[in-house]
Amino acid sequence: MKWKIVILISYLMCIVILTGCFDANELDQLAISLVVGLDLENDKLLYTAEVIDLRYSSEGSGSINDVSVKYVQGTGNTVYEAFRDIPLKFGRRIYGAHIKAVIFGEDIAKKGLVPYMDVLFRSREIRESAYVIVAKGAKAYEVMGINSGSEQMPANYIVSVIESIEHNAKTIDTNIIDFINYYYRMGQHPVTAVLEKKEKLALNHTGEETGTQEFELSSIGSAVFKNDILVGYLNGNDTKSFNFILGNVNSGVITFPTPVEEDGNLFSFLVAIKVNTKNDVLLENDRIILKTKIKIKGYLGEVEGNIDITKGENLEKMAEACSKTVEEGIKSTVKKVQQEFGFDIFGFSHEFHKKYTNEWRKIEGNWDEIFAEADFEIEVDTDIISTGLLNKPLTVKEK
Amino acid sequence: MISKKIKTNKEQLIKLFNNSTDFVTYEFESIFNIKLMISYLEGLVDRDILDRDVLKSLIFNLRDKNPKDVRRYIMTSKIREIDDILDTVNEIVYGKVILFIEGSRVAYSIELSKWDKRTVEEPQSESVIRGPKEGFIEDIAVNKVLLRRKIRNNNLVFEDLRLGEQTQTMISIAYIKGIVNEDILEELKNRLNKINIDSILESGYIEELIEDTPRTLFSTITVTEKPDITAAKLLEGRIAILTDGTPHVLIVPKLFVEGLMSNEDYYIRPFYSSFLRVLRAVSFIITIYLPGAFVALQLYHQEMIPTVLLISAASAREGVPLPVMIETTAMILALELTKESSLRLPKNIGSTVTIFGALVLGQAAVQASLVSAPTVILVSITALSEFIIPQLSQGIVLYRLLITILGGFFGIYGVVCGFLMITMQIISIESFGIPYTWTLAPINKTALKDGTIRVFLNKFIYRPTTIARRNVKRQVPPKGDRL
Amino acid sequence: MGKTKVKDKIYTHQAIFLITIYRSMTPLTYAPLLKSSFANQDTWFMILLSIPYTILYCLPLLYLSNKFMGMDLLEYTETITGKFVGRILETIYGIIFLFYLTFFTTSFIEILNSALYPNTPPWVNLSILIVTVIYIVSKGAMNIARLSEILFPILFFTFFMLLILGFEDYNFQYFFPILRDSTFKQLSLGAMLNSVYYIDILILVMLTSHLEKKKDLNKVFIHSLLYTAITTLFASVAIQATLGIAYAKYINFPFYNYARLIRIGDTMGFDLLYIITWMIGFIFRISGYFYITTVTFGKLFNVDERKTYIPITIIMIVVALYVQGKTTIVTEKIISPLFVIGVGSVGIILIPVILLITYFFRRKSIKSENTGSSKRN
Repeated sequence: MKWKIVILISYLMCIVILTGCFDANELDQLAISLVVGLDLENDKLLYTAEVIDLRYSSEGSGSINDVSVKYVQGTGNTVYEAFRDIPLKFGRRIYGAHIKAVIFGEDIAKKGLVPYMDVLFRSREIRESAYVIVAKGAKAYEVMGINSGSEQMPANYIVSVIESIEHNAKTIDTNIIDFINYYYRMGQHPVTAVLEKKEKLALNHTGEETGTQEFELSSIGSAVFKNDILVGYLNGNDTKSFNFILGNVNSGVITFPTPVEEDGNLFSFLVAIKVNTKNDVLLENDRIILKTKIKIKGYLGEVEGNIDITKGENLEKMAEACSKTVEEGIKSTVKKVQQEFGFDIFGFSHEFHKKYTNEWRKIEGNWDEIFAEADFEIEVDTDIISTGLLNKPLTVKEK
Repeated sequence: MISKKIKTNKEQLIKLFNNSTDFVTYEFESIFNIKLMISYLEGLVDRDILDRDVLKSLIFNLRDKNPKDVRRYIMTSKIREIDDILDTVNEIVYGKVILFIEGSRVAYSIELSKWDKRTVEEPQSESVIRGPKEGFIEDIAVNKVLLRRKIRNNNLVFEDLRLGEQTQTMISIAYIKGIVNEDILEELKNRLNKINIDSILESGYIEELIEDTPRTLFSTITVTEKPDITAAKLLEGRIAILTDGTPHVLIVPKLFVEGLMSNEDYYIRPFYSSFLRVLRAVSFIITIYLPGAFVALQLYHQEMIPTVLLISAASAREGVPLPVMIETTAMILALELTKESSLRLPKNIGSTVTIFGALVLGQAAVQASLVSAPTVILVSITALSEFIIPQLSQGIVLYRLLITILGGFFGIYGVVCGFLMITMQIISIESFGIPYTWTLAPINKTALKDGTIRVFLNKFIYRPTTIARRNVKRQVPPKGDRL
Repeated sequence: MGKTKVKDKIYTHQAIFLITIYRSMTPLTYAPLLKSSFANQDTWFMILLSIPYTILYCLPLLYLSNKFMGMDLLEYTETITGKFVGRILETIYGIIFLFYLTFFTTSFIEILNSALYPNTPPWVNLSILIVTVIYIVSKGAMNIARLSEILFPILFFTFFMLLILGFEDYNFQYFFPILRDSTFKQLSLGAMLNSVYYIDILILVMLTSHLEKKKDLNKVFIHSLLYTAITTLFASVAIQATLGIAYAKYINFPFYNYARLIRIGDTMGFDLLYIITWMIGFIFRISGYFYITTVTFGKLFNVDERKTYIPITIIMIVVALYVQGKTTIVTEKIISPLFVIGVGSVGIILIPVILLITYFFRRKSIKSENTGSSKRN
């Protein structure tokens, strides 16, 4: 028995000493990356990563205020080759487990995204909850590096701009998992977020430290893919309608003309708290009707015009005006999608599959054409449940 | 054999005691011309009573060597007759006075022991806020008295025996007849009788000799200095072992969950004590696994640390010379150094050492970037968690070191394997036939009521059934609700 | 430390926990069910359907164990078929156990190395695994059962916590249309396939001689079956609801991917919990199979169990390193699932059926043997 213990212990000591922790990566050997971008440049793939640069401050406290970012790029024929090109220039391997968003340049998106996504999934580092973003009309690296929000790092700025869907439904946050699921689902096609670089209006004030100030990023709108090839963009309002149909609206803002008999464009807006969407398909005599029923509950945010909303019938009128605006907006979006793109991005195929399972098997290959020909009906119902702190608009004067 | 002649006895005794100068023999005669001799060890007897009640009365009253007479005139209460000279030696070393009478083959042993003892005071190592502050002292008679005062019951039984060839230390087994588990008592007596050792200077020797597996890192015998803890455990059917010369009393058997308890839990409010128990259980896990887990995460699994924390940890690591694992191990060892040194130093230098340690290790090391700030925070949390559960600290330190090394070399996989091995070892310990982790594995619902959380006192209906076989009902469950 | 050797006692609930942990490891690791092309969004129904099929599948073994209450598999094999044939059958069982042991070890090392530690050579991980497993097994069956009692709450509490934490990502739309896309025949086929994956009944029948209450054998089986079905159900619902039905077929370790998607605000590290509990459960499972292998070989060659550790370890190491160095197991290239299931079926269906038939023919002679020999408790 003693022999065995001796052997065991010496064996363990050998392992422990000789192997010397193969997989250990000290924290200061990693380049932590938060956002990556992929582009096609001269027929080769360009991989841009935004890496956290930790300054070593002499007080040794290493507070987070000392963080800034660096950009590294690598080229190659495949994504992984470009990825492994980077240590030759930068000296450290990119550590991808904290990547929050992957930005694809427009040129790559037009060629098809799924082949490039294979590496994103097969490697265990990148998380599938990262956002998929298309750089509108630009290359990915042009969109990175702009920080005009109040975040410390541009990566956080990008992510927070995308996540602002909770405040305004004119954008969309698709992550990789959603993209793949839309891609696999028969009949539906993916929609992702966009980032656009815009110039900011200059203001006269004292300068700031980091980031370029002249540009800002805007995530209004979305990118539409046929299977995985970029075919076009939706503008902000269309994206909002898209979110309505999908039921993605958490807190949306609906602007509608105030129903008064005055001249000029007077608008009020409603802040929607709860939006319930129900989609349906009807098959009648070989004609397909797509139906959507939306129920909105919200409170009035702004009222312009001389309408006295303390009276019940005026509130009704406001609600109806709101419903009408939403209906028209969604109708025009669907029509636009049917005419411009010609395939289903809203998910009506799933409803059809649910309701008419047998017929679905026959027509599932042709759903795109069927969708383009289908009729669309919508019904919106709005309930105004609060008018904020004021009852009458300030412009209505008491007599 | 005691001879009839006093002179022979005296010579024999002086020879047996090797001419030691504190061995006193005093010959005297009563007024009726009976020759008497007393012998004792100086300092162990009460001279006042000896002179006043024994010598005086004997000198004035003793007519002949009739035992009835002798007994009548030794005016103290505890007298025994001895007829072997070696027995007299055993008695003398324990502070008794031996009376020899010329012409009699019988000697008398008179109980007159008195020596200096420490006063009963609060033990240093187990202080409480609420609860009695008495602690055992080194004298076994006083300890028995302290126990008696807690359990004023005729069923509290003490059984004495002497262990240790050279030291002849008196050991006393205490139990409550009718509640105690007879099997464990049997087993304990067997094991005590098998002890064949030179000296018993402290109960720690006995602890090691009667344990099931002294090689484990957690002790299977409770050691305490407080009578109320001892009394509470006796009432659950356990057995206490008092040792002369040390205030530390052993109590068998012990379960793992007792390491997480303190007697104060029963005196303070129930919800708060349940919270404290849960806190102790959580700190047990934290103190063993936290350093290793953090090292493993930092080295191998950086994706599992939240981004913000990762950035601050990474920036704290820039410029620190040592790799994480060695740094953490060094800090843990430094913690042990501090603990040990603060124990050994005399009181007046103690505070200086604390300041020195805090300054050097904490402040300067971080500022000079020898260690990074997260490591220091980590090790201090670990240390604080360890101090909540002092009873288990001997095992905790070594396990913690093992886990840190495993985590540093093998990542979280090593920590998991270490966890399995440690848990396996704890589970397989048996304390006198009872599984060490009794209330947890195998689960026993009624005993769990006291194990993890502490329910209201009126729900303590049953004693832990494995330990107390009979007399399992502690109290009658109250009729009606009285929450 | 010369104590009298007490026969290990395993309580009923400990046995239930043990078997449940072992069985639940399969869906939590590679969820073979989700990859079969039989049912898409109706996998949950398939799981429920597989409960009666599992009972049917394990029926011969259960019946035999009930008849010979108090004897474990090896003992009644010898009783029914006599010494010589019994030895042959025991050897077959030993090989089956050894096969599963190496299979699990190899897949564990492979998963570990591909998912977590790509640069570490496999023998390093393997050696730590062996040290841990041997240590656990050397403590005996009673301590293994106690360990299951401690591990069960940890594993299942973490599992349910992971389920709940990812709840906001669930998209139940994936499960519609319910029951429309697959025929009942397809579902039954899938259910049968599912029930055949679980071979842990073998461990149960090997431990029957240690059970404290022998009559509870059926109770243990049914309870663990139900608990495992619930676990599989929740796990597959969670996976399919978040990852999507189509994508789930592409993934090697679905539950791991699911755990990676959980986020609370900015914190993304919850797959750590999954990895820890998975490792604990899998190592525990390997040690269970190691234990019954040592028991079988110890009985076969009439040696003390401890002496069989080293040969078994050597076989394990050799096979694991060889197979691991050559190909991958988890993508099921060299060992197709049919092969694995086939081996299990030999032990669970084929041999017990043979034993049953032999039993019915030799009923009288066995009865007379039994009254002569001492009945063991």
